[in-house]
Amino acid sequence: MDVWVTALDALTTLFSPGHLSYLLLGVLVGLGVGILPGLGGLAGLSLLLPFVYGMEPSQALAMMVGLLAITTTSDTFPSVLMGIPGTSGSQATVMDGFPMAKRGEAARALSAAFGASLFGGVFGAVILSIAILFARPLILMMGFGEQLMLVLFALTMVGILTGSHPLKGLAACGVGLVLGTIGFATSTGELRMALGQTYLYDGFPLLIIAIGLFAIPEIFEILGRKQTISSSSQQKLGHGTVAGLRDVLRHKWLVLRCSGIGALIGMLPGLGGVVIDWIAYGHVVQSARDKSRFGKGDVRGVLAPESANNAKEGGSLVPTLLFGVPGSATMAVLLGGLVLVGIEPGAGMVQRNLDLTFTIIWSLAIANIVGTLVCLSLVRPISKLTTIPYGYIGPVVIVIVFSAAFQATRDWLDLIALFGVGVLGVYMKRFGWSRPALLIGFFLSKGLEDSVYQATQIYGFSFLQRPIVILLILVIIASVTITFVRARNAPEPDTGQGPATRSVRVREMGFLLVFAALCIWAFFDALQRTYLAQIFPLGASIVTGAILAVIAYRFARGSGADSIHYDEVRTRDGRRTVHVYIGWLIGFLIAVYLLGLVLAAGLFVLAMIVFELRPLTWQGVVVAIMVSALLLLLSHVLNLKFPPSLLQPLVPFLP
Amino acid sequence: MKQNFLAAAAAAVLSSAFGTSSLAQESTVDFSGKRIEMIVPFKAGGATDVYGRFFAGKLGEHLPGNPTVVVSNIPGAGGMPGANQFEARAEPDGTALIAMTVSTQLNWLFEDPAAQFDLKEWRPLILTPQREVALVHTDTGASGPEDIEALQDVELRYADHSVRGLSIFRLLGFDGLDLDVTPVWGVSGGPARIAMERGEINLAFASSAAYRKDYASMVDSGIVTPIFSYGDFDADGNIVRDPTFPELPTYLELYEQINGSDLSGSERALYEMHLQFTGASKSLFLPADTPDDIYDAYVAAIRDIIDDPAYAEENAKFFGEHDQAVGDKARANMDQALALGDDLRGYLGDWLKKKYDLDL
Repeated sequence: MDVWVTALDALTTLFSPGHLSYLLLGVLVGLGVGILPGLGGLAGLSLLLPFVYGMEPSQALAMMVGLLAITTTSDTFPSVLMGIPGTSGSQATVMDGFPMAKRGEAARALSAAFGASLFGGVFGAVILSIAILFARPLILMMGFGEQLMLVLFALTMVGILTGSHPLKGLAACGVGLVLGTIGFATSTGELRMALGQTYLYDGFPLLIIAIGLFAIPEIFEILGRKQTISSSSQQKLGHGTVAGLRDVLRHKWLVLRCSGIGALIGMLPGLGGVVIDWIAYGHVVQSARDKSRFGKGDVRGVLAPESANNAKEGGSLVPTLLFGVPGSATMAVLLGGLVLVGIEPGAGMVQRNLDLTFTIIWSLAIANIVGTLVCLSLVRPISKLTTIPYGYIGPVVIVIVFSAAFQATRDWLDLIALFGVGVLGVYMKRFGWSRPALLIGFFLSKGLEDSVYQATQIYGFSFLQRPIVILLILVIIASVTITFVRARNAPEPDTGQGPATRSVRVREMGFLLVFAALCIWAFFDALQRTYLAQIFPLGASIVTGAILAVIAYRFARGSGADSIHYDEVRTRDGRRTVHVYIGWLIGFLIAVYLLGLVLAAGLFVLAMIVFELRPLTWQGVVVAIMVSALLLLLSHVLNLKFPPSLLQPLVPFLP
Repeated sequence: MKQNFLAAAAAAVLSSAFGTSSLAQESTVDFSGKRIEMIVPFKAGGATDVYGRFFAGKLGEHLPGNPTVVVSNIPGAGGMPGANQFEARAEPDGTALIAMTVSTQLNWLFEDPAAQFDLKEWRPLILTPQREVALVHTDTGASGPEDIEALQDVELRYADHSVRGLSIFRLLGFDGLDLDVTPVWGVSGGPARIAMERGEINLAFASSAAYRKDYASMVDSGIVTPIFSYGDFDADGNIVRDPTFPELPTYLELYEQINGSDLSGSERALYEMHLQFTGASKSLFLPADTPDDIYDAYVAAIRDIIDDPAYAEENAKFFGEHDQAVGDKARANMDQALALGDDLRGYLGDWLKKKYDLDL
């Protein structure tokens, strides 16, 4: 009974003007960082932290949770409208959301996503309020063996994300696993493939891999097609909001299932937030009877990740509040925020600070509702973005993405790495290698290696006899079998490319050699390490190398009609070659090095607008000045850092 | 130059003679309108960040001229890029300081090639201790320090982030007690505590803060039991029982009980070094070559913060019961902690290689 009194008290407090305004402030900031590609809840919380210190705890909580709740909703805008994930947790929405936007159904995709997000978010809050009372034993059952199985289960999702050809998908996943071994080996503290760069000690930042692989290729595509994103006319664009909400109702069981998946996996230790949207996406593809439309704009492909995505916030708050153990990177920052306002999260916090716990739950629910309403009201105006000429969108988004990337570790190498990964992504897209598969492999690599090591170190192989481990093994076998059987029954995909010519074979083989070189490097680097630090990279590079060898053989000797061949350039006419845009990026980086980001950004935007949309118009000048001014403002107001440049020491006001 | 030195010397004599902050604050140091940058070489929200931000706001109020103190997080690679940037860019004029944690100091101490800064030259302002206790799961059959000898027959599993850090000292210590310990790397903090609760690991350590927050309830319900503390220094530099755990024997006591002799030689030196590092768990530094008047102004401000009754409750929660080493004391302790000669390094490296096949 006391619990309910406390819960109601917390709700009334939250509706006092002071609290509500902080909650709304958090929602507002979250809306902004969610919409900007590359920035997410993590960046948003980091921005708020300086202001949190010394605030009244429940107000600070309302603000921080408000921010977290909305970023997973508002990040849908760039995912759907531009094909660029708004945060590193929202890539799966791109798969079907962006094709819908290209068809002119942006509004429908967005409102479907927001409806699903709303349901997922509130569902997560409900689960949270129940779970903090009962979930303790469940989390305690998830030992190292069980966590290993969860990672393996997540890895099986690669099976449905293999892109143009299953073998190439597996190889891409393998490359991700190999890339993920760069940096400190957990088991021995040895450095692998770090090239003497401190930047690589912790491996590539996930943010860089995520936006590099997804954002840069899409920007190039927008620029290359020389059209607006949406192919349909202005008038039609705003329509479809109601249709999208109706989609949510029509697929209510799917939304419910995916919310459950999101909340559950968010709650369990071992996986972290980033792959949850892919698991939900994998689930909808596996369970759907007709899957011919996935990847081409099936609304279910939007509903699934979006509901899971929001539900996971409630889920990952469970271990955060119950044990003081963050369920994800974002929750780690939230925990820091709790400490800053004088709350000690950890065992017993739920009992000690039940009122604050309910403040968090209510904030989560209310922020989801308010956030969804705000986002829905923005659907019409923001959808119009897809009708803005590509010449404006392209350069501005490039500037945003690079500025966001620099926040990963605030090292110049962030920019270089983003450029490198971006170029890799461009060619992966062109030759039909699955980027989601690489990302999932990369993200799970460390977890897989570490949990194998930890489980065997603790249990030997007896962990395989634990009941939940056995259960999870069965789930994994079922998941692989479903994927395998369905793939066999599915008709051979028609890439519409016709038989591969000799020049296609040469080019795709050239790109394959990049991956092969990485595997060879990883192999020889691993040979120099001690047993525990070498076993995983050796295994990953040998298996990946073997798959690559098979692919290479089929590239060279196989029939020209083999669906393993793919070169996007052949089926898309009127494209300007991507080399031009790679050149633009290099130019931009040089300008940043010379002039600093603020000036370089303005100049770059101006130059590119002129280049793409000549002649120079006043709109172009205004856009360029606004970009520079905004960056300057951000650096001063939020103490946002930008890369050091040659000019910087000479001009004091430049950040 | 000479005048500067004289002035500084005079200031030092005066401030030590009167022993309070008021004088130093009246010195010529003035940060009015200045923006001071505090580098935190870890991500926002982490323990070092929280420590830095605890001081950032208050330093602004207590430094002469009430400057704005902003925190800049430069995360990654165990804090080394942040520390390197601080070394390369921080001006010794009081407009830059850094919040450090013990693992970054150990990276420097063990000569990680990435550590391109000279920690010995930096000027320590305050060292904040996190004294530690060792705990075991009651599955091991132990119910307290008296069962230490029974623990020698048990396979013990210990978890921490990596061998780079205080773990190496802890493992050496366990070896000194003839305990058979298998390390499990990559698990620390909260996850380590849950693994302890599950019984997947059965030997853990906890700072007094972590003990109160996370382990006290587990001790009450009989899941784990503390077996020894690493001890603390009293005002005269003697090693005594940890004031937070007066009933627990120190490592030294157990060592003597088991081995029949006092801890001595290299192992003793390394144990004391360990203790000095737990005494510098979190810390603040000014850059090398910072003039004394600026350094003194900072020291005065920090003393004010620690002594300010307005913060009494917050401070008590933040610092616990251990003495903070400020100013000269911080310098002296840091010098002891960093005094790892070639002989000790060789001893430690050989031991690590032989026992765990790991390189220092």
